[in-house]
This record gives sequence, structure tokens and C-alpha cells, in this order.
Amino acid sequence: MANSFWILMMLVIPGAASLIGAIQGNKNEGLRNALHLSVYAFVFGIVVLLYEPVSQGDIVVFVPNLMGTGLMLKLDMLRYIFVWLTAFIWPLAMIFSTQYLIRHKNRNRYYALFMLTYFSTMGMFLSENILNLFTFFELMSISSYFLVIHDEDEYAHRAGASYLAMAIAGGLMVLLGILLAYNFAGTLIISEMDLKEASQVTRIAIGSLILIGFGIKASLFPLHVWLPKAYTAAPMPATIILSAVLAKTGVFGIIVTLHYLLDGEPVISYAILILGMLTILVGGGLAMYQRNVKRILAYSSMSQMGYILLGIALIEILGSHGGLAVYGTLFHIVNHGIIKTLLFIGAGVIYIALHELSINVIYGFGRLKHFLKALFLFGALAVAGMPGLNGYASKTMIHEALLEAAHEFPGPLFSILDILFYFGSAMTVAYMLKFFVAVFIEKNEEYYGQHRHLIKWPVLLPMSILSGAIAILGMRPEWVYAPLSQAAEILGASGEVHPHLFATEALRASGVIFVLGFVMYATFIRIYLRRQVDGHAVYVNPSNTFIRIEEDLMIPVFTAIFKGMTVFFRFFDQWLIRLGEFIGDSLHRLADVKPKKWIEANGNNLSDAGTHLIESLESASSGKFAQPLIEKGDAALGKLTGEKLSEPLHRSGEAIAHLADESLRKGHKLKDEGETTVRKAVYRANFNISTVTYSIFLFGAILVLSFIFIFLNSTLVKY
Amino acid sequence: MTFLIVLPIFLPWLASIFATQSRIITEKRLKPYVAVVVITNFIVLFTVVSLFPKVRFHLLMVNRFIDIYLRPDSLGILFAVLASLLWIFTTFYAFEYMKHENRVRQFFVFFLFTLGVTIGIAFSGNMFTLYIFYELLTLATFPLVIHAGSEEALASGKKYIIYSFSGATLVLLGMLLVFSITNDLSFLPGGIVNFSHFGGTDHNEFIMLLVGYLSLFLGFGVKAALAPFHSWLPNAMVAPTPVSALLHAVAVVKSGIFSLMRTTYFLFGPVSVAMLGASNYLLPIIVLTIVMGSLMALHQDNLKKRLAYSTISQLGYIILGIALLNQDAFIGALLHLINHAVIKITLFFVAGAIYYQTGFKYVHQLDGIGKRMKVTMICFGLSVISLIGIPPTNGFVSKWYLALGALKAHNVLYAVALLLSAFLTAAYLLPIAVQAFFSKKETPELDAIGEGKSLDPSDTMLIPIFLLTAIVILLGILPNPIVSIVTRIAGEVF
Repeated sequence: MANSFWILMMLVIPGAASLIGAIQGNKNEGLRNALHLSVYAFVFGIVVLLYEPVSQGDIVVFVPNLMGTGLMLKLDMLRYIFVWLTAFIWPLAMIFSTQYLIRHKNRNRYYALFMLTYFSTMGMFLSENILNLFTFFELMSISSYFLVIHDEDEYAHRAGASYLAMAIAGGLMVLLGILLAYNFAGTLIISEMDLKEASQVTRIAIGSLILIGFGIKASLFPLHVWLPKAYTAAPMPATIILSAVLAKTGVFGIIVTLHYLLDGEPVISYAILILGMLTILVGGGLAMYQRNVKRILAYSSMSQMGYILLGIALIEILGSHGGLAVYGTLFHIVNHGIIKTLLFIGAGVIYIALHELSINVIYGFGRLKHFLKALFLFGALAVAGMPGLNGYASKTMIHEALLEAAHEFPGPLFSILDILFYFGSAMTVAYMLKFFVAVFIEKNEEYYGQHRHLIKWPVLLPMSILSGAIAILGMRPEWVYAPLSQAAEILGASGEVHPHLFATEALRASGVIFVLGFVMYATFIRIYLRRQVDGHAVYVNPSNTFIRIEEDLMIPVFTAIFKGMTVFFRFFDQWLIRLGEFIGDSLHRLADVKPKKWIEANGNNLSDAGTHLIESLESASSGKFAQPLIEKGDAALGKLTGEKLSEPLHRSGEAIAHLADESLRKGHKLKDEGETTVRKAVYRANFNISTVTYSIFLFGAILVLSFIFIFLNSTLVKY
Repeated sequence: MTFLIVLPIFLPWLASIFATQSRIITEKRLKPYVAVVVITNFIVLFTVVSLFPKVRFHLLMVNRFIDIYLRPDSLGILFAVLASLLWIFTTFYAFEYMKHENRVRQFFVFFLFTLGVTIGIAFSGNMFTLYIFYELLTLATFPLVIHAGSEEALASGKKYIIYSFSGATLVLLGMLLVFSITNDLSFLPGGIVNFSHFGGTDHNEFIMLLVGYLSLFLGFGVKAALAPFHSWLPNAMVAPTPVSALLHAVAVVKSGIFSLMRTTYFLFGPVSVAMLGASNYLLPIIVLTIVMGSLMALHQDNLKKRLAYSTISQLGYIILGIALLNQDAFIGALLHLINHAVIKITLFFVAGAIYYQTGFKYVHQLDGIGKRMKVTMICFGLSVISLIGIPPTNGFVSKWYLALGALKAHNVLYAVALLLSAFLTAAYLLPIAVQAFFSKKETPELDAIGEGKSLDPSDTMLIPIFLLTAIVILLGILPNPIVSIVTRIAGEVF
């Protein structure tokens, strides 16, 4: 009971803190940061304390009525690993945020959404009801979208649009898959959902829908297109979260679907196996090309996710022998989270100091910053798979599982995968070497050890903790075997596994990988990608001209579909009105009345004639004719003033003026009449257009009424 | 005392006639008067339906056909309560909004009158009564549509009238066809058309019933904006925003939907409709309506028109739920009737608030407006998320049931159409919400207004928006009370 309470608290407290922090942060930022940090620390405390009870048995919590189906949470060892990773990484990213974001705007919004993302991620990992899982997944997608576009510049918006579009499309696919699965299984409880009754085709269809949705988050090739953009556009702490934890939500979804819903459907498992390997190779290969350090790490993340996906496929392919695969996969999930956080913080420090990420500019930045260099080297070696560090342990386990699969299912597939595995790992060595050599070893006169004041405890503390974790997990991997073995049991594999991490073959494989990596670096990167331009050695990125899946394939295809649909539906939208107009016009022509034309022609004549008449009348009446006479009369009158003649002349002048007035009045009357005639003609012309429209409806109405009459008739006859 | 059931219908009518007396109800008293009437009517409605459950009342009975008969059942009460509740929100919103418009008194007179008509539709106990109120609704809302009095408004009004009356004519035809066979038009859960009674083998009667059903469906489909009879709806956007909000949320389009439900589940009954095979003709149109609405919405720059096309698509969801003829789909349709009403009225209120405060009508003008109208645009964003159907909001709940119903009908295509439309919904509404907050574009037009002060509307406008958004979220997190009511209604029918 108490445990259930604490599990609920893991959701309630962050949810509340997100809201309180947003309100509080407007007034006092320090208080808000303290609140958030203490919440993260508190939840981490709960997670640590819950280890004991979870290892005793699963904890299930049910809150009825919430979100319709009720909220069903479950904490077992599989989920615990994901939850622990979330609770461990988030506070460190938060500490780093406090320094990284000092000069950014909208910090309050950022922290609130950061906490909301934490809340939804936790919720997703804890959900036992697949609808709850989906809810938290969507909430997480949306809240992390705001983290991606936090900088609000053009690039961030483009990355964000890509991220959001794919997240929503993926979410809808997952929803469709869940609906179909629910339709067959009749329950929403993940561990009870079972599609055994569905045909294989149905299972594959459902599986692909859900896996595409989650695969987008897990950057499964070829659904990774949003990843390089979003990782680069997001502020560094958000990138950490995206890479270290949010990518794992996709992984979690894939594990759950593949294991519970699909029972390890072989077709899907093999598809993930091959796509996972492609993810390793494409991610690793593109990482070698990149010049922006954040992009190197982004593609590196993608490549490492490939290992995890490969491992998931191996778990299901190997079935009860898949213990090693479970160990390797889950361990790599944790290890990758830890290592990538360390590396991104390292890159973040550079960005804080220089606001620049291209290695052609920042090369040599870390040459004299020895502490930073040492910590970063630790991470680089760990991700490359240096024996004694944690990356080595998990990668070796996955590799051993691959060999076991090759042993179990002889054939060319696994042998090829084994060879490609070496190449993929060698690529990791090569691109990390590129990064490290360029930033921390090459010489650059501009950097002589300044910016040291920027490397403060919010950077060094998380990096030190993470390095410690890397070392401990690398040297003493057996310390985590207990939870891993329990998780293996949950995933249907035998938990009795004894990996031989430091056996000769494993060490030899690691040696081969490192040698291969050095060779790749020395040849491909140093010779092909590093060229002399204007006397400087500059890294170039020919991959910018490669075919891009999003710009060159997805967008044109979707645009074409969209345009086609638009044409069709625009027609569908308008056809009734068009049809009405067409029928009206046709009727018009059939009747051959052409009233409009006739009236227009005659109306024009009429109005011309009217105008002419009016003009002539006006000119006649307005005094052109009378005025001179009056003037003459006046002149004569003036001359004859006082004489006898003046009286009759005056009178005749008045009579003439009267006559002129009279004709003026008549002219106005005529003008009015002419105008009325013209107006009437024009009105008739207009009226005819709308009468046609009305007549159609009248026609329809009469038709309908006649029908009614007929039926009424029949009714009356009947009764 | 059962005649008291007419009170919620006649009270607004009397009140609207009384409101024309400008000597008694002066300009100053008009608003309090309307508020009192609307709220009183809500209380009266509640009292009456709880005092007389299962009441039947013949207002006028000439013969079996001409029979004005009121019989509020649970579906009718649900619709009446929804309408009255949203009417209250709209009233308060309109108080502020109508300050910018002329002829406020005329507006409120017809506004009150329409409330009575809508409740009349909800309470109708047979098809004839429904038809009478349905025609009245057209007449009552027509003055509201052409309220602006401009050339455009008059043209739209003409279109609205022509479409509505054509639809009503079809309804009349269908009604007579059905009556000629069943000799009864009253509504019963599960329908009155029973093939075993009418000798289901009679081919003529079968065809008559099929034609009757189809013409009723298409006739009511005109008000429910079923393509290709939807063109009046985007045009009717010239009305003042409170009206368009009501037209979209409850009054007109949902009356069409409600009538479709009555026809399908209470006149014919799901079994008979399934036997008639009428859905085969209707479902393709409905699916096209859903996708067309969403797709055309993408091309609209006028915000209200975009919302109008969105309504067409969302109504398509509900009609799909009706036409699929299974319980989950019907639950989904009923839920979406409620949820879409709440969501869409919020979106329209926001569109109106933007227009009221800034005069902006077009989507391209709205970049960066979220920084000035924070609360309003956050409400807009949340409603948009709900309309797309992202949990935990109410839009998701109804879409979940609709999609389940689609799968129960053994056709994934309907579910795919729903989700495709949901994606398009995201495509045409989400960028507005995002650009409102995160656009970096220069906005000289916006900056010129209000000297950089917050442009959030005053409380009478903002509180309805805020409360409705709260309902949107609340119904998503705790949908069970509504779902249980709706399930009970659906249970009566199946």
C-alpha cells in the first residue's frame, strides 16, 4: 500500500511542481529552480528506495475512472530500469540547464515544460494500461516539442515542424494499432493483451503500425529523419533528454509491443534486426561526415539506438536463450543514457563559451582545459567501447548474443550481421576520435585557456557523477546483474546468465574494432574529409549533397498525394453548385430566349437615345437659347431705359424667360422618364439571371410536390 | 400538470416577443433580461424534466399524422441540456461581442426564439413535430445569419434558406413515404419500423422504406452539412460570431445530427436500417465528407471558414458513428455530439475574440498574437489538441469510441479515414496555435493595436472561453459520468 502511494507520488509531485513552478517562476527564479531540483531529487530518492520492494515482486496501482479506463500503473524490474534511468538523468540535465539557459529567454516556460516532459515520461514507463501509455506518450511528444523549438528561430521551427508532424503521424499510427489490437484482444492491460487469435497478417499489420509509431521516437532507420534536425535545434539540456531518455520511450514501446502483443512475431523481429543494423551503420556513417559537434553526437545517438534495437530483436529471436540479449539491451539503454549525457554536456560547455558548434571554428578549444578534456575522453572511450568502461560491457553482451544467434540459426544472415557489427563499432571509434582530436588535441592560437570561468560546478558536477557511473558500471558490471536477471525473467528469457566480459575473445574483438576504427579515422576522415582550403585544414561534409530521405523522398511524395487529393476534393466541394449553374445555363440556352442579350442590346440603344434626348433638351432649355436673348433684351432695355419702347420690350423679354423656364421643366421630366426606362431595362436584365437559379429550385420543389401528391393519393386510397 | 413540459419551449418564445417592447425592456434592461431568461429557462428545463420523467404530451392532435407530440426521453433531455447550457455561455459572450454590432435587440429577440425552437426539436416525440420545429429553426436562425445586412450576408442567407428548405422538402417526402407504410411516426428506442409486422418480403414496401430512409437522411443531412449539401455552412460564417458559434456547436448542425439519430435509431431502428442496407449508399459519402472537410479546411485563410470546414469534417465523424449501426459507434457519435459542441464553440469564441479585439479575420494575420492574447490563445491551443483527438482531452474519448465502432463494422478503412482526418486537423489548426506563440515574424499590424498592452478580452468574454476549455479538459480526464449516460441511451436503442 505504501509502495503504491509512493508510485503515485512519482507522478503527482512532478505534475504539481510543473504547475507551481510555472506560477512561482514569474516572481522568483531561484526559488523555482530549487523547487524543481528538490522534486527531481525527491523522486530519485523514491526510485532508489523502491528497488527493494520491486525486487520482491511487482507493484500494481489502480486509480479508477481517470481518463475513462482508469489509470493503471505497474512497476516491475523491466520498468524499473527505465524509470531509474529517467530519474537519474533528469536532475543532472536540470543542473546543467541552470547554467546553459542563463542567457536564454522564456526560462520559465522551459522549466515548466521540462518538468511536464519528465512527468509524462515517468507516466509512460509506469503505465500498464496501453491507453494510459499512449496518453503519456502523446503528452510527452507535445511537451518535448516546445523544448525543441525553444530558441524560436527559423531553424528550430523547421526542425520542430518535422518533429511534431512525425510525432503526431506516429501517434495516430500507434493509436490505430492499439485500436486494432484492442478489437482482437478485448483488453487494454498490456500484460494480458494477446493477439494469438489473430491471423499472422493481422498481427504483422498491427505490429508494424505500432512499431512505426514508436520507431519514430527510437529513430529506427528510415524513420530517423527528424532526429538530426531536432537534436541540433533543441537547447543542449533538451537534446540530452531527447537522446538519453525520450528515445528510450520508443524503445520501451517497441519492447512492450513486440513481447506482449506480438509474442515475438518472427517477421517483425527479423525486420527490426535488419533495420537495427542499418540504423547502426547509417547513423555511424553519417556521424563521421558531420562537422557540427551536436550533429556528430545526434547521429551517434542514432547509431547507438541501433544497437538497442538489434538487441531487442535478438531477445525475441532467441526466446528463452535470450538472457544475454536482455542483459546487453537493457544495460546498453542505461549506459547510452549516461554516456550521451556526459558527451552532450561536454559539447554544451563549448557552446556556452563560443556559441558555435562547427569543428572548423572550435577546433583546439579544449586543448588546455585538462579537467574537461579528461571527463570528455572518458565518455568518448566509453561510447567507443573501451574495455573497462560501461559501453564495452553492454556492447560485448549484445555482440555475444548475436554470436549465440549465429550459433543457434546457422546461415549467412547472422555471419553478415556479425561482420557489419564490427564495422558499425569501428565507425563509433572513428567519429569519436574525429570529435576528440579536433576539439581537444588540435592546436588553435585563438584558444589559450580563456573561458575557464564558464566551466563551473553545474557543468562539472554532473560530468563527474556521470564519469563515476561510467567507471563503476564498467568495472563492476556484475553489480547490476540482479535487476537485469529479473528483467530477463519478465521478458521470457532465462535469467541465469554469466557473461564473460573479459574473456580473450571479447577483448580481441574489441582490439579489432579499435584498430579498424583507427584505420577508418586515418584514411577516411583524415584524408578524405579533411582538406586543405586556403592553407587551412578544413573538414568538409560531402554528405550534404547525398539524397535526403525527408526532402527528396517523403516531402515530394506527400506533396503529390496532397495535391491530387486537393484537386479531387475541391471538385467534390463544388460540384453541386457548379451543376446547378450548369443546368441553369443549359435551360437558358435551350429556351433560346437570350433575354439578357436582347435587353442589353436594346437597353443600350434605349439608354443612348434617352441620353441624347436629355442632352439636346438640356442644351435647348438650359438657356443656351434663352440667355443670349435675355442678354440682348437687357442690353436693349438698358439702352432704351426711360424710353417708350422699354415697356413692351421688357414684357416680351419676361415672356421669353418664362418660355425658357417652361421648357427646362419639361426637359427634366423627359430626362427622368428616360432614366426610369433605362433602369427598368437593366433591372430586367439582372432579374433574369436570378430567376433561372430560382426556377431550378422551383422545378425541384414542383417535382417533389408532385411526388408527394402521388404518394398521398396512394395513401388515401389505401386507408 | 404534464402540460408544463411545454414551458422550456414557450418561455423563450414569450420572452423573445416581450423583448421587442422597447418601452418596457429598455436598452439598459435588455442584457440582464436576456441573461435572466436564459438562466431561468435552464432551471425550468431541469425542474420540469426531473418532476415529470417519461412524460408524454399531445399539444395538438388532428389525426395520426398531424400530431404535435412532446416526449422528452433521455436523448432529448441530453440534447436540451447541452443546448441550454451552451446558450448561457453564448449569451454572456454575446453581451460583450454585440457591442460592436448594430441592431442588438433584433439579435437577442431571435437568439431567444431559437433557444425555444432547439428545445422543441429535442423534445419532439414524433417525426411530424420534429419536422415542424426543424422548419421553424430555419426561419428563426435566418435573421441571425443575415444580421450584418451586407450584400454578402444576404447572399449567404439566401443560400442558407434554399439549402435548408430543399432539405426540409426531402424530409417531408421521406416522412410521407414512411407514414404511408407504417401509419405511425412516433419515436421509440429501437424504432417502429418492424419488418416482421409489415411482411418484410414485400418488395414495394421495402423500396419505399429504403427511399424514405435515404431521403430523410439526406434531408436532415443538409443541416448536418453532409457533402455535397454542405456549401451553406462556410457561407453562413458571415453571421456574428456568437451566432456562428451556436450554429456550429448546437443550434443548427447538431439539430441535423440529432434528427439523423432520431431517424435512424428511433424511427427505423438499427436492425431495420441494417436490413434495408441503406448504409452502403451513405458510408462512401460520409467518408468523403470527413476527408473533404479536413482537406478543404487546409486551404482556407479566413479563420472562421477554416473552422467551418473543420465542422463539416467533424460532423462527418458523428454521421459515420450513426451510419455504422453498432453500439460503440453510436456511443462515439453521441459523445462527439457533446464534445465537438464544447470544443467548437470554444474555438469560435476565440476566433470572435480575436476579431473583436483586433479586427483580424485571416490566419496569416495571427502570427505572434499569442504573446498579446495569452489566455485566449492557450485556450485555443488546448481546444485544438482536443479536436485533433490527443489524450487526455475529451476529443480523444469520442474518437476512441468512434474508431472502435468503425472496427466493429469490420472495416479498417473507416478508422483510417478518421485518423487521416485527425492528422489533417492537426495540419490545419496546430500551426495557428504554434505560430501565435512562437512566430518571430514582424507584426506591424498587431503592434499598432493597443500599445503593446495585453489584448485578452474583458471578463464577460474571457470567462466563457476559459470555462469551456476547462470543460474540454475535464471531460477528457474524467469522462466516465458522461460515458455512462451515453452508454445507457445507446443501450436502450440496441
